[in-house]
Amino acid sequence: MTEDKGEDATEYMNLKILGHDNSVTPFKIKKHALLIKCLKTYFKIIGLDRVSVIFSFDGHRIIKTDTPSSLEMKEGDVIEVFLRQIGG
Amino acid sequence: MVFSTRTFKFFKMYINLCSDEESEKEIEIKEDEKIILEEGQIKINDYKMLNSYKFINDILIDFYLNDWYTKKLSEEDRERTYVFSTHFYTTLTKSFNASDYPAHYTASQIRHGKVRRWTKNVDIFQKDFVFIPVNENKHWFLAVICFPYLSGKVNMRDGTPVNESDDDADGYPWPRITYSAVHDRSEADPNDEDLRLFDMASRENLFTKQGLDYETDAGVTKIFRRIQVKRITATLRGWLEQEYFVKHPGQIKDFSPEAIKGAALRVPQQPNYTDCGLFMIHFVEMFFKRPIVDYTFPIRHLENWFSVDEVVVNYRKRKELQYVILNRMEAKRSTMPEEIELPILDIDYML
Repeated sequence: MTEDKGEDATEYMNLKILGHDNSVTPFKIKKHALLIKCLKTYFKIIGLDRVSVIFSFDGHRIIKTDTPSSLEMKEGDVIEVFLRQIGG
Repeated sequence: MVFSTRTFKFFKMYINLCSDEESEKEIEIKEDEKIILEEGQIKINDYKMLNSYKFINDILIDFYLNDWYTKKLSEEDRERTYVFSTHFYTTLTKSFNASDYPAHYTASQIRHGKVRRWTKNVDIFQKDFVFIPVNENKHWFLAVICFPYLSGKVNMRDGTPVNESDDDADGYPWPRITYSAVHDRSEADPNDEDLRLFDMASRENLFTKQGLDYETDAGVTKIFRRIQVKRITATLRGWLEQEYFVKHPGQIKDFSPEAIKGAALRVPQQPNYTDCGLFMIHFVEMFFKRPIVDYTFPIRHLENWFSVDEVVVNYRKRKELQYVILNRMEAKRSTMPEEIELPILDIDYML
């Protein structure tokens, strides 16, 4: 959520995306920006089907309203990409 | 200095990702990708998995277990229970290059490192039960770590140590075997695991799926299943040990197979090719509804734990899962971003 428009609202932080193939993609994001937007761009660049993966931070599945600040992320933290799983 | 194409790629991505602009418009959201429930991020696509012929996916299982944990489980039981997401074991066993790590790192340490931060807010050694859904070769398993803080048998009523030995008469240790690792996974060597397996029922469909003929070689099935379970318990044992080491530095605890026993339990089996995910979530629920009262091995009383009808008749468990989703949607109706048309499922026709 971008409710907090305080002093550090525009402050950028550097994060990384760890792909399911172990590739690492660094990116920069504002602390209060919605993570899912960056991740959507990642989909596009990587050419992954959005349906086939989910994003996770320390085991927490990233949802629409998550921001680096709401997840208490620190500089250099890693977001992981998981392939979807099914079973029968 | 080396400028690999990879570096360049990263650079490019860096630029693209950090441009804060709305790029959403360019990505058209397909009907199937529309979210019908924010909580759990369930999309129409996931909802369609409830069709009788479909496999259940991670999203549905995580959602259902979370709902069960937060709403159905008693406060007392919730307090002593921890449930990992379906991606925990997958992440733990993600394959790696040992050369990327310092030479003194053991495989078990490297594996633990991959999920180290998953438990940043919990000490699982303060829990009685830790549930770990496992997905392997398109099959769902359930692993449960019970009383991880114990190092031997105790009386469940008063916690006093018990010296009574297990009845190992029917169980037998396994000769060392060569095994092939699961594709793209790094797990512990099942040979390290002294798992006495008390003849579990086999599951034919797993083999049909993998092209092995169960009919002609029942022995293959049994051996395969045992190795599979041994791999999982050996891997989790390694994780548990590392976790203790990190969370309780300086303390010593015995994690050997003698101190913390592993078992593959005989439980009700799915009568079809599709419902293992539903059985798995039913196991979790039953664990509290009809708990194990005596952990003395072999634990045999779970063979008739429940009737398979509880899961499969009239797609009962699928419908329960659907009901939970629809119920939550109903509750959130006022905050739904747009009117979404739900697809009709074949289980809708079943009474």
